[in-house]
Amino acid sequence: MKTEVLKKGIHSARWALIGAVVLFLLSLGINSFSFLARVRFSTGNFLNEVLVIGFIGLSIYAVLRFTGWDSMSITKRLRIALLMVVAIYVVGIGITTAAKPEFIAPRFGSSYVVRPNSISGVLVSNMIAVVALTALVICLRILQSLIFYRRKKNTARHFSLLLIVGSLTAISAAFSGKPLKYDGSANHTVTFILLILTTAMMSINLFRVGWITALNRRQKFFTFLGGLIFSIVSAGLLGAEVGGGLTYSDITYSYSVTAGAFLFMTTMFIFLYSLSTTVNALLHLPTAAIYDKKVREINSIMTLSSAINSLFDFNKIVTTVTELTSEAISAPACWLELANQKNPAFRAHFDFTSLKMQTGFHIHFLDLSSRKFIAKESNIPTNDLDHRNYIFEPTEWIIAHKQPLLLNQVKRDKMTKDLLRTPIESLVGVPLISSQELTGIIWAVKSTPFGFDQDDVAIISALANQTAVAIENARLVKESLEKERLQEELRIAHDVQMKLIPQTIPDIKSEITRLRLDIGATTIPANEVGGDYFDFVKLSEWRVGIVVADVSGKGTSAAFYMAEIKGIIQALAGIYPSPEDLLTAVNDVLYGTIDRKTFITLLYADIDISKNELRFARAGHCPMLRIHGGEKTFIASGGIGLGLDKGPIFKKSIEEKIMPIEAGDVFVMHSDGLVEARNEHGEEFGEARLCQALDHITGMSAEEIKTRIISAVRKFVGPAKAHDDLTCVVFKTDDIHKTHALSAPTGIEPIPLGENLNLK
Amino acid sequence: MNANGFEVQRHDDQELTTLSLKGYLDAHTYPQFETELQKLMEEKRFKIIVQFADLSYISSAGLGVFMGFIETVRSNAGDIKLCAMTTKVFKVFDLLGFPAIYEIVATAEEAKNNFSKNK
Repeated sequence: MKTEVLKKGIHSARWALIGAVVLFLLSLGINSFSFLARVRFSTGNFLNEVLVIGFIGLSIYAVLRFTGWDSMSITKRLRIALLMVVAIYVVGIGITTAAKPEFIAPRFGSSYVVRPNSISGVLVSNMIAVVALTALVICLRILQSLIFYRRKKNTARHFSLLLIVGSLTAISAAFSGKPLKYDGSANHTVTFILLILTTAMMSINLFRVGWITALNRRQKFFTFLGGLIFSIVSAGLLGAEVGGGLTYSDITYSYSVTAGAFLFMTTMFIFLYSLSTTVNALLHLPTAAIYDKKVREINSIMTLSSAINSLFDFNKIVTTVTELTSEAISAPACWLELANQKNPAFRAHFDFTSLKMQTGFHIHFLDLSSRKFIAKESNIPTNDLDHRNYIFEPTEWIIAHKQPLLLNQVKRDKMTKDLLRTPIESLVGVPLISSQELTGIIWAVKSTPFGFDQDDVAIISALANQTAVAIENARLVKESLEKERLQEELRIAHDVQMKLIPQTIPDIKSEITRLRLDIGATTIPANEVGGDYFDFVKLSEWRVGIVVADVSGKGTSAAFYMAEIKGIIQALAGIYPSPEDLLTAVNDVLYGTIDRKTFITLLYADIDISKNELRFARAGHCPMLRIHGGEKTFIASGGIGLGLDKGPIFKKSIEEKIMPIEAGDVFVMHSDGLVEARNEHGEEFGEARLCQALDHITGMSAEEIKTRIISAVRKFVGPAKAHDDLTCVVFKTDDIHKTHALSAPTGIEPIPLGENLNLK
Repeated sequence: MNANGFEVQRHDDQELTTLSLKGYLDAHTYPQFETELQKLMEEKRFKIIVQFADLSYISSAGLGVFMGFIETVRSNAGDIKLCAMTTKVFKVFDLLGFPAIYEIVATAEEAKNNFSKNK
């Protein structure tokens, strides 16, 4: 991995490296030549310095091109830096020991540089310098990456300034040919000022040690040790002898003043930065554990936040929350106690498997309904324990105070005397509060006293807030799904009910009387499903039973009874020729199956058009309206609702009317939803308005009359909401040859008679 | 749904209980009335007079409530007597045929007297 990254970097800076190597070889050549030829010409020195500047410049460029440093872990960077410094030492000591180079003291006093006095000296100084420079360039780059770790606005500027001032210092030193020294008289004034400036820039950069905070406790400790080693090693590079009474610095200076100055300043910077790192790492050590904990807490909250957005399953939320809480505060057991929506009792919810896994000690089982800890292996079935009156006092305390509860000495607290026989020593509970309501409690326990502190309470509180939101969300999602499902079911019920209403109007006619029955009918439920219905029972070509009924109450139960009564009537109508007998029989069947509070009101008209006869019975329903010769009469024969009485009273009260029918007679059967339809002012439509709507209807078809009635009701009601189902059946007798568009013969084209709902 | 709402007032007089209804008794408000009657059943008070003077509307669901209790009441030697109905409310009871099943009288006083008569 490392070599791969390095290779990639080197590849991108290949030309810069080749250039650096060429410059180095040239410099080596010049140095060797000038030594062997015993020529000390200043042009050679000058040329060498230029080559060295180029070499350093190209190396820095090559190293900068390699961006792998910034993505490397901090420890890895530090390891490489250490490796570089060690390399300088090993190579330096190795070469000097092997070659035993000779140097001569500077000719004009100590402020000038030493010179090699043998060809091995030349080679050694060249080799050592190149290794040192390369290694230091890499170290500098690593330092830069550390300084840039918490990059601020001025970070780059300060570092660049350091490089620029440092370069100027090195070049200025090269011109004077003297090694850098913190001694005002040793260097040219310009060089000295530049050196002071460089040092100042170094000190500014020394404070960029923010990367230390990102390390964990162990890493901080090693950084402290590493920093110490670095400062010693870098001090050694500056002052310790390598061989022949010369320091590393001296040898590099002998190769080139620029190189020496670069080594001097870089090493100085490494030394100072190492010291700064050591001190900072040391200062961070005591707080490292707390810092690590904070990081863990933040991670838990983040995990929870992201998990919660995608969690709508209640059990998964419980598992996630308990696991994360355990992890965040290092508690071996954690559970969630939740308020029961319907009943104020709390119940505990948690995942047994996760509890078992995380439980360092043995809470073998925590009874869900009793909130009771059972510490030992227990084979007592849950049912045998009396939990009904069990009160867990800490829960009661939180319910009363809506505050977190921290008990660090469980065995000494009165509130937790029930936990005496358990391994629990510390207990913390934090309320879950959602829209100011207490919805639950997160509990965590430890087997050591003083296991939790205020920070733990804070972290559970943060988790508790998230959890309360998540639980609320899960509840809302469940509710809306439930609502959607119910709506869907109601829609299905509506569709089914609409199919129970006749789809076509039977064609009833008689060649004997030359009459045809013209029928128009509709039912409009107030809600998805209604209790109103109408039906036709075709008894023969010329005889039909017409039913209009209203089941008391509304909604699903009414719809069921409607289906039932339809079946009963369809089955019995053919058997009983008299409506009175039919309804009595219907009541007998119905009474046994209907809920006591429910009853059905019904009109039944048996029309035999071949005999011009209508037999009619009413069971507690609104009377039928008859228009005969322009005269309107409500036919209210006796009869109580179906399902009210088991038989005797019903039989006694029911009354059958037989009346002749003539061409042009109109009959209107309706439900109370029609006459009791209310407008915005609470007024009822009433029978009077119904009669009014039926003025001047001569020549109209039954369908047209029905439409007129419905329009009148709609106009009257206006924007008010329908509060009851509305049913209207109109039938009239007509000449056999007069056919109306909508009185299609049965089975030819189904006409939808149930009007569609306006589902809002 | 109804701005008028619905109210039941209970008045106990020895073994008689008078429930005075007010407002709209329909599919939305009947549970309130039902609860009240249920309470009487639990207290074993079976001689009940229902006073309709202030009831402005009754729907079929409201009528159903009476049916739900009449059997229990009568099998315990009690009765539910209805009184003081407005014409409109009476018409609803009448249409359904309630007069055949229940005693409907003009005043609470009359209902009370009828209870003592039957004793």
